[in-house]
Parts: sequence; C-alpha cells; structure tokens
Amino acid sequence: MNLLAWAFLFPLPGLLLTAFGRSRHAGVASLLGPIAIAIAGLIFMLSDHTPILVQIDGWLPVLPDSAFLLRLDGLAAVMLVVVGGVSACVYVYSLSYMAGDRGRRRFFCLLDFFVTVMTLLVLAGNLVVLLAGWAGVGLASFLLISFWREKSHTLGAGLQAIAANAIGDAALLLAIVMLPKGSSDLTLLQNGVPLVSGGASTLATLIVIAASAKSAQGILYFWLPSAMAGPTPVSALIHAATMVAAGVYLLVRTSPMLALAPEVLHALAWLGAITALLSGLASLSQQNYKRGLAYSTCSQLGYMFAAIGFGAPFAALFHLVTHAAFKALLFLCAGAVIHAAHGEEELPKLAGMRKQLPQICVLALIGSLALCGLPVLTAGAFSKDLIIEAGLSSSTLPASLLVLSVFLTGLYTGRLYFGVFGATTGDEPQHDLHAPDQLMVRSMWPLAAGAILLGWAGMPLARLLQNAPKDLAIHAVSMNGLLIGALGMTGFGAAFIWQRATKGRARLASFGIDWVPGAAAASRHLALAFAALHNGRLGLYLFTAVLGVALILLMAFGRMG
Amino acid sequence: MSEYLSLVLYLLVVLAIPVGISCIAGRLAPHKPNVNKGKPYECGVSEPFANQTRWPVRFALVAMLFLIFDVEALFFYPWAVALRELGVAGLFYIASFFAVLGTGYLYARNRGALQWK
Amino acid sequence: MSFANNAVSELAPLAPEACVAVGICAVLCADLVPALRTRTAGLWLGVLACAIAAVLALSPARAIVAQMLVIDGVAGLVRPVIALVTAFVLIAGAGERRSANDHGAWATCVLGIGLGAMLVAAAANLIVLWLGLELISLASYALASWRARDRRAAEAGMKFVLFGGAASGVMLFGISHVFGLTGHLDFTGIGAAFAQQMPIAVLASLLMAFVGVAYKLTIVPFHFYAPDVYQGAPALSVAAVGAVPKLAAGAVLLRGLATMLPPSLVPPASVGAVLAVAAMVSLGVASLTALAQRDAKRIVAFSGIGHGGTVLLAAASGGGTAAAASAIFYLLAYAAANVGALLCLSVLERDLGSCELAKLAGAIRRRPWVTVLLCLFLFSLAGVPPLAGFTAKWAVLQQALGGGPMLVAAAFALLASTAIFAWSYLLIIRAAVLAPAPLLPRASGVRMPLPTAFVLLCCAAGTIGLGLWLDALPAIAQVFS
Repeated sequence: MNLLAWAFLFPLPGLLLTAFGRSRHAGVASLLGPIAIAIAGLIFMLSDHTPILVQIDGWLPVLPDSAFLLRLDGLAAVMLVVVGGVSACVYVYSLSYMAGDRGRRRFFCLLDFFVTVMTLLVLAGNLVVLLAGWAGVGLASFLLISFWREKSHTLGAGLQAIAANAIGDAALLLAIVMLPKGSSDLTLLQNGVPLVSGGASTLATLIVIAASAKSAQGILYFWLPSAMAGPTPVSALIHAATMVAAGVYLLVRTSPMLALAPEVLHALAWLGAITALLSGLASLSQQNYKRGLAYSTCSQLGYMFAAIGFGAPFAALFHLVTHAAFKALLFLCAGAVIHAAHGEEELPKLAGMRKQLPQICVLALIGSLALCGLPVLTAGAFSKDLIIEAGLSSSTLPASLLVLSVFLTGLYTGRLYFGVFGATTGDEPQHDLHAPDQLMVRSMWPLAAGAILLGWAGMPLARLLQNAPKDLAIHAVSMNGLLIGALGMTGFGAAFIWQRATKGRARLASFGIDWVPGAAAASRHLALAFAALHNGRLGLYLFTAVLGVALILLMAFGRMG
Repeated sequence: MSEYLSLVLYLLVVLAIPVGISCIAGRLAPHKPNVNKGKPYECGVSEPFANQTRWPVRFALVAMLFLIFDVEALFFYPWAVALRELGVAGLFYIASFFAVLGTGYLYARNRGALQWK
Repeated sequence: MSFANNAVSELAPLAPEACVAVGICAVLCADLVPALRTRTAGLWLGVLACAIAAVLALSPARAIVAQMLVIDGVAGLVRPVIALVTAFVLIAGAGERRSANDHGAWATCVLGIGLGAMLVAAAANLIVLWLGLELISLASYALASWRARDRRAAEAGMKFVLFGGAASGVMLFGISHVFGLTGHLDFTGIGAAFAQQMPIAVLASLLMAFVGVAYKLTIVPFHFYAPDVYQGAPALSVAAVGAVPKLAAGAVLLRGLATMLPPSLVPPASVGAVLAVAAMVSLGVASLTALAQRDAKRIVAFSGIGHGGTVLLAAASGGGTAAAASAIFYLLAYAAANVGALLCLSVLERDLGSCELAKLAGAIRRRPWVTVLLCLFLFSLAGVPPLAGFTAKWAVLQQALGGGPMLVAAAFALLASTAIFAWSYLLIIRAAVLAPAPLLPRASGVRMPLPTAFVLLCCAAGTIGLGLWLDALPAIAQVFS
C-alpha cells in the first residue's frame, strides 16, 4: 500500500517512453501515468481509509522540519482521482488535437511533467514538499502557456503567470518560515497548530495570498485570462480543472488552521464572493471564446474560496470536483470548435456551429447546464447549492452576492453557448470545417457523464473525508436548491432571448480594472519622483539629511515619551 | 517628557522672536533697494577683490600637510606631561607614533609636496 | 623592560591592525624608490600585509583593550573578512590598474580603508569609533575623486567630503551629549550608567551618534553621496569604498545596540521600531529610485542603499545571536557579490568606456565570461536561490518576522523591494546580454589579467559556496555565543 503514496512517480515511465521512444504515435505511452494515478486514488477509496505516510528524514537540513513527507489520505485520494481522471481524458483528446503539431512529443512530455508535480503537490505531507509541487506546477503552467513559441503573445502571457505564481510562492515560503518548528506537517495543520497569539492571522493571510495567486482570485486574477494563449487541452487541464484548483486544495488542507483566524476567514468569504461577481461580469464583455470561459473559471473558483470563508471546506472540495468535470468538458468543447474553425477564437466568427458539430453541441449543452446549475439533473447544482446554503447560514451578505452571481453565471454561460451554437443570422462566413474525429468526441464522454452524475457522489465523498460536516444534506431537491437552480436557468434563458434579439452581437462594455499596468505606471512615476530628488544639489541633500535626523529623534521621543 | 517641556517652549520662543521681527520689519520698512544695499556688507569698504578667483591647488596641499603635522605634534604634549608615569611603555608608544609620522613626512618630502615651485 | 613587555602583551590582540599599519608605512617607503614606483610592488606589499593580518585576526582569543577596542565574536569574525576583502581589492588592482603609475598611493588609500574598518569593527568606545570612521572617510574621499581630470569624479569627491563632514559633525555632536549626560564614552559604561530606563535625552544623543554609522551603511537620508560617488569613481575603487566599510559598520552597529541599549534599559520595541522604519524607508526609496537609473554603477549604488537597509533591519530585530548571525551573514553575502559585480563592471568599463546601460550593449559578445559572472553576482544580490543572497535574505526575513508589527511591516517592505530591485538588475542584464549591439570584436587580443580573473573566481566561489553551505548560520551563531 505504501507504493500508492509514491503515485507522483507513476507518469515517469510514460514520460521516458514519450521522450525517447521512436513511436510514430508519440504520447500514447504517456497515457499510462494518469490512469495509474486515478486507479491509485480509487484503490485507496476502496480500502479502509487509513492514511498512508512516507517519511524520509534529513531532506534539506537547512529547513526547520527537514523530513520528506508524503501523505495519502481521503482528501488526497479524491484529488488523485480528479487529477488522474481529467488528465486521462485530456490526454486522449490531445492525441487527436495535437496530431498534426510538430511539437507533439514535447507537448506530451510537458503534460507528463505537469501531472507529476501536480500529484506531488496533492500527496505532500508537509508544506515544504507541497512548495516543491507548488512551484513545479507554476513552471509547468509557464512552459505550456508559452508552448507555441512562434506566436507573439504567448511568452508575455507565460511571464504573467510566472509573475503571479512568484507572489504565491513567496507567500507560501514566508508561511513556512513563520511556522513554529515541528508544525509544518500538514496533519498538524489539519488539527490546528499551537501558535503564538497573533501568529495565526498572519499565517492564515499568507496562505490565503498564496492560494489566491494560484487560483486567480482578487487582484491576482490577471494572469488566468492571458493564460488562454496556450493550447486548449492545457487550458482545460491546468487552467480549469486542476492547477488553478490547487489554491482551493491548499485552503481545504489548512482549513482547521484558518479557522483559528476568524477575521481572515471573513475576508476570504468577501474575496471569493466579490471575485465571483466581478469575473462573472467580466466574462460578459469578452469577445474571445476561451477568455470568456477563463473568467467563468475565476468566478467558480470564487465560489470555492467563499465556501472556505463560510467555514464549509467540504462544500468547496465538492464544487472543485464537479467543476473539474464540467469546466474541463466546456473547454474541450471549445477546443473542438476552435480546432474545427482552424484556430479562430473570436465569438462572432464562430457562430452557427450547431448544424456542423451536432455532437459537440450536445456535449457543450451538458457542460453549460451543469455550470448554470440545472437542478437534480446536473452535478453543478448540488455543489453550488451546498456553498450557498452554508453562506446563508453564516454570513448573509457575501452569500447574497453569490446568489446574484448565479444569475450572472446563467447569463454568461448562455451568451457563450448560444453565441456559438445558437441560431445564425445567415450572413456569417461559411466555414470550411475540420470536423473532429471520433477519438476527440469520445474522450469527452466520461467528463460529460461526470458533469451529470457526480452530484450523487456527495454522500460517499462526505463519508470518505471524516471531517466533513455531519449534518450534510444534499439540498439539490430542497426548496432553496430548486429556487437557485431556477435563477440560473432564468439567466440561461435570458441569454437565449438576448442573443435572438441582438443577433449575436451582444456584448457588454469592458470594465475590468487592469491593475497591473496601473501599478507599473505608478511605480514608474514614483521612481522618477525619487530620482528627481537625487538631483545633485548638495543643499537639498544636506537639508534632507538634517530633516532625517529630526524625524528619527521625533520618532524616538514619540515611542519613548 | 514633561521635564523637557520648558526646553521645547524656550526653543519655540527663540524661534518666534527673530521670525516675528523679520516679518514686522519686512512689512513696515520702506523698500528702496539699490546695488550697494544689496551687498553683503552695507557698511565699510566693498570687498577689495572678487573671492571667486582661481588659487593654486598647492596652497591647499600645504595647508593640509600643516594641519596634519600640527595636530600630530599636539599629541606630544600629553605624552610629555605623563612621561614619568608611562615610563618605558610610553616610550614604546610614542616611538611607534613617531615612526608612522616620520614615514609620512619622508613620503611627503620626497614626492615634492613641500616644494613651492 | 617589564613595562615594555606589558605594553606589548596588552596590545597583542591588535596585531592585525598593527600589521596593516606597518604595511601602509612599507608601501609608502617602497613608493619612494623610483624603480618600484611604476611597478605593482606596492600593491603586493599591501596584499602581503593584509594576508598576514587576516591570518593573525583568525585567532579565536577574545580580549578587551583598554575599554577602547573589543575583540568579541563579531569582531573576531568580521576583522579577518575585512582584511581578506581588502587584499582581494588590492589583487584586483594589480590586474585592473596595470597601466597606472600611482600604485603606491592607491594601495595606501585602500589599506587605509581596511585599517579604519578593522578598528571600527572592533570599536567599543565612541571616540575610537569616530576615529575609525574618519580614517575610512579620508581614504575614501581620495579614492572617490581619483580621476583628477574627470569632472564627475571631482564633483563626487566634493559631495562626499561635504556630506561626510556633516555626518561626522552630527555624530560628534551626539557623542558630546552622550558624554555630558553619562560621563562615559565606552559602550559598556554608557549601558551601565542607568539602572532603570534610559532617559530620552541619552537615547536621542545616541541616535545622533548613530548617524555616522548610518552614513557608512548608506541609510536613507544619509545616502545621497553614494550614487554620485559610485558613478564618478572607478568601479574598482567603489568596491573598496562601498563594501568594506559596510562590513565594519554592521559589526559595530550590532555591538552598540547590544551593549549600549540593552533591553533592560530600552524597551526593544521602541528602538527596534525606529530602526525598522529607517530600514523600510531605505528599502522603498532605493528600490524605486533604482528603476529610473540609466547607469549600471548607479543601480549598484542604490542596491547598496537597499542592502544597508536590510542589514539595519536584521540588527533591529532583537539582540540575540541569531539576529546578529543573520546580519553578518547578509554582509558576507553582500560583500562577495558586490565586489564581484563591481569588478565585472570595472572590466566592462575599461573595455566599453562607460557603465551606462546604453554603452553596455554587446558586452556578452566582447567579454562572455565576465558578463556571465556579472549576471551571477546580480542574481545573488537579487536573492535568487541557491546563491548566497537568497539564504541571507531568508535569514533576515526569519528574524524580522519574529518581531513586533513594525518589523513585520519592514519584512514585507523587504520582500516588495526585492522584487523591484530584481527588475533593476534585469535592466543591467538586458543591456549587457540581450540588447542588440554593434558587432564588437571579441576581446581575444586583450587577455584577461590573471589577478582580476583570480579575484572574480574567488568572489563567485564565495557567492555560490555561502549559498550552498547550509549550516553557515548556525556556525556563525556559534562563533558569537
């Protein structure tokens, strides 16, 4: 059984075969890894749920807790199944999607690398090992976003991801430094750490910053829409289902410790709710299909953050699982559409695909309905409802923002869906389509099944994670759940009417705040102002120095007096 | 803090008096500036020559050397006063001091710093 | 003769300083022999003196010399390092200043800085501290304006003198108040003069005396001379003027805080908070101003201001041996990377005529190895793992985060400034490596002088070695305790 905790090594044989093999079908061998990982997770789920620990002492002696610690428990097993399952689908999809690409071998090697480090992140037993995986997925993300080197904007997009990830890495590093000796073990975090007073909120803040950099929350959202410059299977796997969910995973892992800092939790709820609302609005203004979906991912991750803020980590994890299925499905559909249209990503040019791609149309409808939360029939309804229920019973104001964004979710999902698959005005250019092959379509079936059925996995999941709330009730068929579902469907319907009325030219003005160029401009102005202070005038220099003496003395008097 | 209050008050008063006088004088006095009034010294002789002329840099060198040797010679006085108490150890100290000084003198002399050409 | 024996045995701990002083005299004498003057003999004499001094200073003996100088753990570690760095600068001088004919005078000035720095590092008395700082300053003034015909150098020297005079004056003013209020000039006497809390007036005077040290550490707003001096002086001289005094100032700052302001007299939060604010201002101003610079040496100058702020932050975070170890380790990492970077810039300055970013284009083609090493040193200054700069920043952060709210705020300022500084270093790297350049011929005809190459490799080894030596901090802390 100990072998299961080493699951992050499973993709290595496939990686080597793909990298050095001479097969014409490069990448087929890589498929072994994700399947093995998913099976490892399933075996653990079917066993007696005793956590598996692997400890190797004396790793990195400079660190306070130097052991290399792996830990496979219920939470990690769930993540293994999600990571393995989604990546298996994406691998099969990519076999077809990347068939004609010259960099296909490199692509699969990078994917293998990503799966390896992501699994390491999931299996980490302490924060140091987690950081190794955490930095690794950031690197993999950069490499895959910038995969098409010959395209002009991919490198910039990758660098944005690196920049945001660096902030998160730094915050996590600080958190490790701050932890008292002996408590960077994630199990201790799960049981709440004995900390000096006031230390808990600093630590919690750092972890929240790290998580929001990885999951594109708050002001650190900026890199995720740009990350869509990468190949679409990458967007589906990394920037929708798994890596961006790593922030949520970290918060779920450390939720008992976060609970020691109620004010941080409260702020977290607001952070998630506001992100969910604003990115929902931002999605409405996008003309690019994939960017519209990316903002939707930000919004859904906001739900998960808010859930942790409400003190309901189980709801967050549940939504993570269902979201991984239906968002990956939506992205793969988008990829199929874009593939068919020879790389075209702009919404107005993609209109009228229903007739040409009937199978994709049905699959996208399943994904969209799950995203909107069609009650009982789709998985999204179960998990989203759980989050809102938790919010309404703890902090009402952020929860009502979430309810508002349920309507928005319906609206933007509908706008994207009907924009591509809806009725046409007839004057669109006729596509010379590149129809998807059966391999591509079939690879999406498991995800579609997940988007429909995973809602019923709630109870078994709750049993698996023994720290889930005891009074867990699946509310999908309750009154509240039906109302929320109806709200989402109203939005979806409104989008249909809107699309009909405006003939597909519907678009809201963009009002996203681009804070990154703003900050750059501000620091440039500050730099010039400070540089102007160093103008070579000795009189000014001496005056400033004397002023400095006076200020230091004043400060000392103030402190001591 | 309170024991310094009087000091702070005193400083404030000291500051206020000249500022106040300047302000009052500036308001009340008639203003008829001319070239001579604008000069630094209104009374007495105007400056005999402009002070912003070039002067030989050697002057600064000699002045600096004089200053250094003057100050160093000063150290001999306290040693002379405490000569008996310091005894042999004192002789050792002053000898090392003199050696350093002598090296400096030799260097300055041989490099021509003391020649006024 | 017993008296003489007594005198010698009492002064025995100062053998390294005496050795450097004798070295200065020897260099001056050698300079009087016309045959030796144009050769690099003076430099090598100085290197010999520094090497002997470094070996002598390695002795683990601890001593107090007449309440004036203390050879404690900090001094015992920093003095040999100062001697070593001075020796390295002199060796590099033998390579970089081959064509000069004033080796003796130049070596005297560098040795003067070294001697002053060793005295400051061991100072336990305000007067000795002041004398040592003045010795450093006088030699630095000469080095800063070494290029006699260069207007920039002349301006830099002038500013340096006037600014140094002002700082020295404020410091003496503070020292006179300290003496008037306590009747002591030695650190322990000042610390022991009060049984309970120290009166504010004494604290204020001590803070004024601190200005002299802050000036050498280039803490904002006592930093203004630094950019001009760095730009005006030859890069190699800057290595002596910049790095060596910082080592000494950091050491004496630690000792002064621990002995003059023990926690029993001063609530640590108060002094620590004041210093943390000063560090924060230094980091903020320096990192932002560096962004607007167009000269590599000026960027390195502002980086030095930021690093001074970081050392101050480490010193401010409590008087324990761990904090002292982090400060000293930071200084060691800084010295290795800074001397290396300036030496690289010195080579490039000689080849390309200037260190302006626009002129650096094509450096990678002309001097590939030097440029690669320059990048290495800049990465270390930026704090990229696994180089020394990273471990050092980590250690300082760890100390600061354990302190009060002001220290935690300063730690975050350190993180932010690290990111901003990294951008400025990238500007240099971009200019030297990536910028399109006129096709400069590779400097294969001009061979790299052997001494320069030796020092560069030593600095690189130090930068990498200190980063990889994982037990450095505990080892340093053990020396201090």
